[in-house]
Amino acid sequence: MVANWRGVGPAIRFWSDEGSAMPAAHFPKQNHLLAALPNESYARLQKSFELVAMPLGWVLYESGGKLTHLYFPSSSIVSLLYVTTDGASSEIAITGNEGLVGVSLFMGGATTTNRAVVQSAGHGYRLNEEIARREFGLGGAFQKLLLRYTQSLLTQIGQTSVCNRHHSLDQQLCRWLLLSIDRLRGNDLIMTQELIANMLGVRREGVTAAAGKLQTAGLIRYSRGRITLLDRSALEARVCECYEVVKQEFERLMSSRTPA
Amino acid sequence: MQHPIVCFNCAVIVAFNVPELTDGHWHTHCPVCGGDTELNANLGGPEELALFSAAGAFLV
Repeated sequence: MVANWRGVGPAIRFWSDEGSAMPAAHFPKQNHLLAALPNESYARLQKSFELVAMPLGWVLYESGGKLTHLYFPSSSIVSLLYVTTDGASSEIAITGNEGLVGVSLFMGGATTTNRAVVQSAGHGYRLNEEIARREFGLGGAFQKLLLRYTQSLLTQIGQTSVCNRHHSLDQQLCRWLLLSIDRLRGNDLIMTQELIANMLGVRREGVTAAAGKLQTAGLIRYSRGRITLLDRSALEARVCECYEVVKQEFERLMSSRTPA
Repeated sequence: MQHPIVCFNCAVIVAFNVPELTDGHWHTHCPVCGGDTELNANLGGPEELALFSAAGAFLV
């Protein structure tokens, strides 16, 4: 099948994983939620997935803005942020290829108070709101999967709140690094200290100091905006309990999939 | 609206695709000359897809 070329435009739709003219590097099932869908559900939606480039800093939606798509990252990471009235920001959750962005679209609220920004550049797939709501409304596997993912997201948001309140900046940075790198291929993350500081809701100097300690201890290498994880087990030993709580709850919820 | 991307190597208009990302650099391939053109991402408003502009030759 040939990719549907719509001429000059911001995106191209692809409707076949196999045997199509689309680049082999990209297919919707790189997102784990989409890969978990039974064949029947996936077949219904397949032609509607739109491959999109997700550059660093791209805003998927603003606080109070109406959502028009669900986003399923395949190689990018998206941060959900809350921005206060005086401009300070704090990350409340991150989503990569294990999940989706835009839960309020199917939860019924239509808008949300947080903001979704691409934290690590990559690609993803998006699904138009009408199609997403229609499939969700069928009450089948798509709905069950999205609801379980939403529960895991609530766990992450709650645990992030606890972590920010009770744990040291060192531990928060370790948690954030592990959660981010879990959602990427390889051990590299391209990120500035300024952005990390915005995510953690702290001053950049604090991140510089914390990252410096991790580098001195041989856990990471940080050079020109690229963070490389050198010793994962040591980082896991240093992190607070929040990383494991989020990870284990996600694995528990997402392992109980609807049978195909 | 995404403007046409002109291949930096051979100056033909590239049938623009969703760009590739390598080591943090966006680029798109030209099937005519086989070269790649590096792209800059120009971020738009919420829900607007990012637009890309040619920035130079990209060595894959």
